Amino acid sequence: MSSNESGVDEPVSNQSALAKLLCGNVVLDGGGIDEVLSHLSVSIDNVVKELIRLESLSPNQISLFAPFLGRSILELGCTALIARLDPFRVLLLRECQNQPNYLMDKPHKSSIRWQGDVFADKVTDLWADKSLQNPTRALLGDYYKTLIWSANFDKLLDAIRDVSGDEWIVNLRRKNFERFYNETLNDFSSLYSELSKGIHHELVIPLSSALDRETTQRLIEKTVRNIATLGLIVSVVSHALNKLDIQVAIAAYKEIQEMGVF
Amino acid sequence: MVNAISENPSLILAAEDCPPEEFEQLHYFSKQEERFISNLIAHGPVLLKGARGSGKSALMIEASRRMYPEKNLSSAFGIYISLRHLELLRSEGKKYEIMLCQLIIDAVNKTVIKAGNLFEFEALPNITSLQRELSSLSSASGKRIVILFDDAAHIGREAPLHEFFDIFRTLSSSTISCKAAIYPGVTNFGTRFDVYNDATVIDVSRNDELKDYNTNFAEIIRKRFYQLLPEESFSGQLTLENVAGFMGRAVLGNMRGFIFAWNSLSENCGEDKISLAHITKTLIDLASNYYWPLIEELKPKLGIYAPMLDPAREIAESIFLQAGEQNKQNVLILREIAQRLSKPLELLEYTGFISIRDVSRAMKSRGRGTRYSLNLCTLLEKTTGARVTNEIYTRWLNEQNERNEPLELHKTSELFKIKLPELPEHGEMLILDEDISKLKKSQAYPYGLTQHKIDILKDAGYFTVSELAEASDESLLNLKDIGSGNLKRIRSTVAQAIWM
Repeated sequence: MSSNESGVDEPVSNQSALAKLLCGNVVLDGGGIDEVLSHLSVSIDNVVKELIRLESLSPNQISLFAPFLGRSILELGCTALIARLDPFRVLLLRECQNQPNYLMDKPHKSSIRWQGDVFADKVTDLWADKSLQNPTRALLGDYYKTLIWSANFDKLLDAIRDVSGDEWIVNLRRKNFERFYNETLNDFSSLYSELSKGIHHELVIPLSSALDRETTQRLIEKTVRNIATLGLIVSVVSHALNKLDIQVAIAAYKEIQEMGVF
Repeated sequence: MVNAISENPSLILAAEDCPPEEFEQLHYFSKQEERFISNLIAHGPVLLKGARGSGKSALMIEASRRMYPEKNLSSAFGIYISLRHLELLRSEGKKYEIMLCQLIIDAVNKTVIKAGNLFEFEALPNITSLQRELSSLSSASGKRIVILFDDAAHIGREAPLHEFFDIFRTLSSSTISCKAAIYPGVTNFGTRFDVYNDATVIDVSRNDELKDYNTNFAEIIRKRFYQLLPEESFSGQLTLENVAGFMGRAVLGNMRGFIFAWNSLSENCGEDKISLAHITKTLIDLASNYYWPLIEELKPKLGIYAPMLDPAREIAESIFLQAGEQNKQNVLILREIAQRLSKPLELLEYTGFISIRDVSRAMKSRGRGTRYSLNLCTLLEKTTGARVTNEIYTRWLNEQNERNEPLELHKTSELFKIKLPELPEHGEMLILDEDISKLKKSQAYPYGLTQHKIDILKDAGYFTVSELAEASDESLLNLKDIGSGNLKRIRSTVAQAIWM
């Protein structure tokens, strides 16, 4: 569902390939987690539309807006994947935000946090009693690495083994899990910081030089590719919500590359 | 062919040897390569990894051509540096740092002159001073700095690599980005550099599974070779696009191999229309005159990995024999075997015999393996009849995108039995001390020197490859019977001998 100018939700239509891959087949007029994923899907669609428009903007406008759009994709994408893999986490957040005492001008402990929900401290011994007291459920934390990403990586490789004509898939098939995961961790971490430099105007050197067209394109491409690749893996995770048929997911993954923002 | 190399621009094999004024005319970049170039211009550390002749230098040079001062409006100050300097190979520690810093300073100064001497740059050859001056240059010009290190890291030349990657990492900042071209098989990045964390690694390889593969190779032909094989040379199913794509596949997308292949095809055809017989002759010629001699040429450059070349040859012979007999274009090697044989397999990848396609793929019986595409020139030699038939042409071109199941090699295969030698702790680059007779025209050095020229050089006191490499242009031009054309030939043969 989406909100129009008067704040009334509109039905989801023409879901973009990126929204489809990250949120799955959204259930219209559903409640609970379906509603959350519909909302996230529409939000991703809105950002995608703006990303496509970037091409026609001036270098200054690109430096100003692209980091914000990139961070939006990164954050919305992570939230969507968390919702599909660990719906309880997002349902909790939804209920909290529905409470009358939820204030927009205050930080909330229930919010999705980069450090905690996406990244987490290293766990040296995953199966030690002490570690299991409060195991991290971060998307790129050590338990997810073992139970989700590593466990399903070969399954994905088997699903895409005969796909041709897809540059991202060709590159993905040339990586083993360790390389894939290290690069993903590093990319997520560096993208978050690099994009925030543009949003918070941290730089004291000219923004148009640090975030020029080529650099911005690289950042956006990297952001979309990384989040979409996790979305593609989620398509083979058996317990994921709103699971896409893998062939539909592969088609969406390719369509994303042709979106026209790179 | 030998005489033509200095006259025919289509035969310039290495981008760094291409005269700047001809660069644009001779190079074509696909959409995928345009993205690589974009990544080289963008801020952030990048390692461009690819086999010999895969086109890394061309990408780096093109990136530098699209930055300031070549392009006035670019927000990046582009500095291209070729690291083909003999002294760098012989240095380690502080000496290496000083030499590399000096090379960077020289390259920056050249670029500053090109920019009309608008900026001051007075760095000392140490990393601290260099970084400070580069930051000042960035600030004065209002542009970020991009340093492109070509030919940065080679297999078998590992001693100075940790120093190189230390400097690569230390120089990188919010306004300075370093980019380096490296070869597959380079594994020594030092203790401070984490290859997948400290840089984005781009694998430069043209994969025939991607869209526009035939069209891209046809565009290269139109740029470089159009006069040699005009449109009238093509007919029926042998259209320009298809033949270009086929030859591209035959050499696994390797640009240098492709240029050799197309030149050889042009020679074989003469005035005739292209036929499968011409293609057959070209592929067989390439196998025996280009690919197998590459292994010989590589041996004295490999340092500690030189003993791995014999097993590499043994592996290649075993794979191609079985794949040829069974009409397979790919091989899937059980992961355990591929891991054990990783170094010789990397050498085969480097020389263009194989190209990795899937790191981990399920095997029919059980287990997982690594899949490689096979070079069709060396494959044809081992295929029944050793000729490109209609059926082979269609199957290898694979326009219908049909699945070609790979040859699977398990523990029962010959590969499993291949033993690897122990590597020595230290390995010298033997080529530097070799007698210059080694550079005589041969299969390994098709553009090598004549006996007459070798005698002249020896009479003048140049006995070893390294002595010849260090000789100045002036002293060589002063020798009897050595003109500028001969000098070019000497330089390119020595470069082929020493560099990867």
